[in-house]
Amino acid sequence: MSWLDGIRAKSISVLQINAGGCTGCTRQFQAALLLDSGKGITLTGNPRHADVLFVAGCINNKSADYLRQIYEKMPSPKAVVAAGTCACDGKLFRGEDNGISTLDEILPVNAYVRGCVPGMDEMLETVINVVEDGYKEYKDG
Amino acid sequence: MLEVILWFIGIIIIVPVIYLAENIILSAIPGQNRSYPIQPIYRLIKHFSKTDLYNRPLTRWFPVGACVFALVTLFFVSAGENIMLIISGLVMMELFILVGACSTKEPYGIMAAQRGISRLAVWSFALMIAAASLYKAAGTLKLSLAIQYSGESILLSRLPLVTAGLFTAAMIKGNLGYFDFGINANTMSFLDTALYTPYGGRSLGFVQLTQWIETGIWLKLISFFLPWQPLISFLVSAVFYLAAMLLNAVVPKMTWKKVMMNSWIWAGGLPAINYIWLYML
Amino acid sequence: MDFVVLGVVFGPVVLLLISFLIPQGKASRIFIEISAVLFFVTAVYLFVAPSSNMFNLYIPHIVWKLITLLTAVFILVRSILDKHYIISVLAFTQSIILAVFEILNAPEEAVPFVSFNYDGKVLLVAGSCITAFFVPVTLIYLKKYFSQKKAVKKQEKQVEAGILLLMAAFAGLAAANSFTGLFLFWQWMYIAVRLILRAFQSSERKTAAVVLVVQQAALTVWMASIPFIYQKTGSVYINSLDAGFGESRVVVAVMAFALTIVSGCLIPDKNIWQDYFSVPAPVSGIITLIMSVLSPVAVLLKFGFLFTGLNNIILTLVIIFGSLIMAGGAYYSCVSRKAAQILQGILMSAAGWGITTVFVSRESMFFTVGYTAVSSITITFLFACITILEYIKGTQDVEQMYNLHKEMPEMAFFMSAAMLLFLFAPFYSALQRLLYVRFLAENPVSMLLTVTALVLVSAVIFRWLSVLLSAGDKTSIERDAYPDVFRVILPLFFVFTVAANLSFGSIYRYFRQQPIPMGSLAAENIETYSELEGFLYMLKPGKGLIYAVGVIVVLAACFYILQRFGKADKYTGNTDSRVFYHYSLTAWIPAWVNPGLILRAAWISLAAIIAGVALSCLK
Repeated sequence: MSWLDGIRAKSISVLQINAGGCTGCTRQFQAALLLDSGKGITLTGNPRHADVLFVAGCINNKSADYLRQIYEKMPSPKAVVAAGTCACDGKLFRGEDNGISTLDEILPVNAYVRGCVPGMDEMLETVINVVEDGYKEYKDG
Repeated sequence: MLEVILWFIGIIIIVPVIYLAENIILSAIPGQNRSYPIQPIYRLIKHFSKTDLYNRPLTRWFPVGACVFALVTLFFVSAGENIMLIISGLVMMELFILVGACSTKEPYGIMAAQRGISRLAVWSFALMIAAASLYKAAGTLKLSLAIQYSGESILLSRLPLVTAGLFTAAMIKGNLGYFDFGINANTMSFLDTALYTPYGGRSLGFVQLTQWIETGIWLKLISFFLPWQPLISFLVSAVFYLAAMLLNAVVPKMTWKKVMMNSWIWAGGLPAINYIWLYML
Repeated sequence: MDFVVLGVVFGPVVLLLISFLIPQGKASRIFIEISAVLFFVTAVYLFVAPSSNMFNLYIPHIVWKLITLLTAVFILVRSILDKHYIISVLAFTQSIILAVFEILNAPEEAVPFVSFNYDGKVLLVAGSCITAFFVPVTLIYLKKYFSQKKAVKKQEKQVEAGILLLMAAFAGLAAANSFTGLFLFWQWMYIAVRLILRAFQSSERKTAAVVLVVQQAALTVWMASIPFIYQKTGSVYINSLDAGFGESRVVVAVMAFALTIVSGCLIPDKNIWQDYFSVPAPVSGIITLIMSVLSPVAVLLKFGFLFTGLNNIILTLVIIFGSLIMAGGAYYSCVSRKAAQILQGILMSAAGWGITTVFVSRESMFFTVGYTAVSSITITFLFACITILEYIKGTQDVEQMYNLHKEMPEMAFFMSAAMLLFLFAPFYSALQRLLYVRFLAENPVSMLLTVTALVLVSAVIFRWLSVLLSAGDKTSIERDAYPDVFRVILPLFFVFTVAANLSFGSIYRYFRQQPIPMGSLAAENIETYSELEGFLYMLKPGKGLIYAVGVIVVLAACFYILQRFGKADKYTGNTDSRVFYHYSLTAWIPAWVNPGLILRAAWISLAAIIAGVALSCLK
């Protein structure tokens, strides 16, 4: 962890996107921000100001386009976090041809937080770790 | 000259101190966002370490211009120069930021710029009336001379509403409380207050630096109207500003038309009333 | 009588008569352009050279009076032919008074009929430079305009004749010394404006707009007052007014003020302006500049001494009226999106500024002359720019100018630099100077209105600037559509504008060295006033000049960087913004508040109060 990443990790702006789902994950994350371990994380509504794109919910064709646009507007370095089962692999809702895709089919994902709903601490730690590790992209294996 | 340089540095330093105090206090309140004490500085460094991603190359140069004008104006205000010079410096600074926002040619950028222009009319009106009242009350436009007058026969007693109006104008510029022109109100920190939506990355860093310096300029400007020693007056205005920032955390947001009405009534109305009242004395 | 003065006043008329001999076309246009340049050269000569008695030519006053009578009779005949019967009745009255009183009764006097003082010379130079640079642009524009409208050649001729006559009338108004002279030149201006308006309006009856009738009525009152004045003072010359009137001096002063306001169409009411300025941008620009800004100020400067000894109430009211015009102009420029209307609003504001400061003291008269001249030059430059833009792009909507810095970088630079120069005076020098002026600073209402106008005008200019410098996608202009004449004129005009703005301070200095022609004006702190720190002080480079140059350098650097490093888009997403709801600067005002109505109520009641106070002073 370089000193710059250390500083970056102390001020993280998160842009939450609910791509289509029950909103449980985003709410859980908002509640988590009140914990002491979530120091330095702020929410923003503006992709220009965001460091981390926090995506939750099932991604359909319509929201996929918007996700791409939002991702392009974020200044780099930037990270994408897939939160919850829906965004990670679309588990329950993903049929053969129903147009539901996972986040890694659309954007380069830096981290996954699984669970329905994921735990508060897991989400916070993931977001902070992604930034601390210098926005490294997740690779299988 | 040494005094001017000391003020120059002091004004730049006081603003992060205010942020720091705000962060410490707000972190202690349950239900408020958790943050590190010097998070604004972290954020500034973070912004400077990011890249600009613009479809238009011109946009990134305007915040630099604004920053230059802010520094020049800060020098003027530290030296207690003519208030009209300070006003024009502030206005030029705002112009650069607005033009930059508009030049992104994004809907929200244009919207932010147009709101900014509406906002500009309010606070420059307040400033100009303040200048006229200052001339009426103290017989000079030069702030360093007015402060001597302020020592002899208290300026605040003649211009109380002007001072209040100027403070409101400072709140307008900081997007605080009932005077928040921001487009998205859900950012949880002062520095991200989002009239500057279209900026991101390094140029957002410049914009925030500009706003930082500008807050100092406003505080110093208000302190000229306060009756105490320059340093004490400056600290008092800073404390008031801190109070306004703390209040901001618990005040609901409004639609921009209502904010505009509020601003005209308080920032425009108070100095105007004071100005008319000066003739009745 | 100085031959040069006569040349300035009568030259355009002679050229007008000659121009009727030239067939319509390129020759005619070149002829008008040459005469505009001649006008400019003569005015500059008049300004620079001391009054020479080398070429003296004495014209008996009876000749002038006969010309006046001829003009009135011409209007009478013309209005009968056009079936404007109200105007014809008024013109008939004027002719009768002229014939009976002026020609039969009034004696020959020693004062020359036309001669310039310093204020008049400065304003004349400003006006003549406007015509010299702006008229060629206008003529090229009109050629295209009329060819698109498939109009007959007669109309183009009418406009050209109107412009020539307008020049003559303006020079005459700046030079006239007597009431008869003012009447004569105002009638010329009326004919000129009438000619121009007729060329653009389809239905003939419509041109007898309310304003024209009101103008003629005002001039009739003016004419009718001449015997009254003669009876009191034994002369019809303006400078003689000081002697003959006791208490009724107030009435004369207010009458002069009211007539100037009405003749200059300086009423803060959109209905009146719209009537008058429904012509193409450059033409409306010329009319507004000459008729509404320069001429009223030039005339009011002559009457300045009448106001100095008046009671405070009248002065206060008059100053409030002037600042109301300022605020009104600024408001109407705020609510408009068309560039020409915005500029007209700003011009009205500048005219209001002149009227506000003209009576107050000798110090502020310097300011008035300098400011009016400089601001009208700057605004004319902007008018020329939008004329060229409309010529090329076919629109003058401010919101459509967003791509300008890619399509025509030099034009965008010129425009933004001119706007910034225009802003410097209001924001720094002007308010500072106004605060030093005794009467204005002792008057909170007018000061508040003035500040409001300043703020609104600067907000409008900011909005415009931010559109000018915002990004666009592709170039849609063919470079061939940009005529070579524009390429030559625009930089020249720009240099002239910058020079005029930068030597703003030097104008004060020039004045300070001049003996004050009307001694009755108070000039207590003239030294302090002219030494006031200002932005644009050429002889003594203060902070302001450095600041101004700095801004222009930064701006030029931005443009250079844009041109040099403006690469292709990195961002591949959807860059075209959707058409967005335009935030007006006044959108926050609740629907039940109607600022236009408030302005109308304000000026009507103010006018009534001024009239009432003036009449009450009679007893």
